[in-house]
Amino acid sequence: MSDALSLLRLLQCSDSAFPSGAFAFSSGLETLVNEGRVQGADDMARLLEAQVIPRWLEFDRPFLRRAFHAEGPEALLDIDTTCHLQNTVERLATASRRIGRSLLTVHARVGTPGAEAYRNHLRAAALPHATGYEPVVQGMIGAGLRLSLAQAEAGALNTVVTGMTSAAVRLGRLGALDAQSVLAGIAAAMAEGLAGTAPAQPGAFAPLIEIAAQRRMAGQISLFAT
Amino acid sequence: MNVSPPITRKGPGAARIGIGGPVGSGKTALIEALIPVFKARGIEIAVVTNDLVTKEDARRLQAGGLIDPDRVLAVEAGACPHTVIREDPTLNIAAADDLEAAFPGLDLIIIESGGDNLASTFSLDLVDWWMFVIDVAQGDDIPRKRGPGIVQSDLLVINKLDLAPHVFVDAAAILAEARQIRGDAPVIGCRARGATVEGIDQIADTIARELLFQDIPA
Repeated sequence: MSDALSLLRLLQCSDSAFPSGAFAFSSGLETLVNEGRVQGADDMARLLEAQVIPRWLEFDRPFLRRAFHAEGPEALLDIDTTCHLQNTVERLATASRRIGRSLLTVHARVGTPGAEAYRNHLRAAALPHATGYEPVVQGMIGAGLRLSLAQAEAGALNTVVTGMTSAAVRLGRLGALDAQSVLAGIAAAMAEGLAGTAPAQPGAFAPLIEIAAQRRMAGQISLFAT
Repeated sequence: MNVSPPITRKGPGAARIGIGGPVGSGKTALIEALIPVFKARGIEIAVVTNDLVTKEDARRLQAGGLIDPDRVLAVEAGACPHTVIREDPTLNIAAADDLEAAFPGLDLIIIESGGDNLASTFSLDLVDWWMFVIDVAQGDDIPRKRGPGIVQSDLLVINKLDLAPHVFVDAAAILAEARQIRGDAPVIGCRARGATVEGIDQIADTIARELLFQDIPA
């Protein structure tokens, strides 16, 4: 695939208008905002650099890479199952599955190679509460769209980071322009992380967002599902 | 004149219909009134609710004893009720797919929007057909304010007809104005709660005729 064509497909899939259901999740940010731990652009930049980006690089990234190289639905299902077993933060795992399955639905409808086959495989496996994780689907989709691995990784990390800043705007802790400043400021850290070697085994330690996501109280009035 | 195009179903599975409308217009009550009617007709249904920030509507339906609680799924819309039915309906599509996989004999999946304003519309990626519910207590000027919900929906339902005298509006005039604004597109007045209900069979007939292709005279 030509560089321009793959770049255009990457831009399409990374666009905030691309439907994935991600708008409904804040990955613990809402709790942190409600508790006063994230109050503005500086806090947001620190949260992204210290928690969100490292968690993606160390946990999601290895699964995306495995899925990118996987051959066929059965191999993808094995990766998905491993992702489920290692995903110890229940609310973040649920969000990841819901976004991943939404992405799969969209790509199956638009005809991305491999998406329909994997969706049917998951339906046959009948494990909706244990499969369809976002990084697995992103890796499979990246390969199906014939993106480079580096493009697929950059697109996935960008989706996570822009999703968090968008949530901060809706929570009233960032203005829309502030959010763009935060994104511009954090881009170097994202690039540096992507340039580093991916861990062979997934594993993450991001207690602030992980515990915040779990701490959301039942019955609490929230703008986001996490 | 607003003439609806013929309904085309997206696939061989259950028909998917949307119910939208402002907060408090009676969307959940309408579903509660429709469930026994569909049940009596042997129409198998499931429901997806889109509460803004809670699972209140889903819990209400699940606890009401009218429907198997497993046939009701809640999608928390994250305070963006229009987004989850229009710009990004994927969470709702996934929920409807889950219901269809869990209950293969479904005829109808009802997707209830969170309460929004007069501008909300359903993506046709999500539903085959949708209705918009307003009520007389919101004021007799609601139909002439138009808005996509009033004008573009496949069916406009004007609920709480019994409240009209108590809020000093003329229900017949509201219905007449709505029909004038919508041309050939249907408008049904109803009362979904109380000792007696009104218009519910007519709404069920419309759905059965338009979506399930049952031979019911218009």
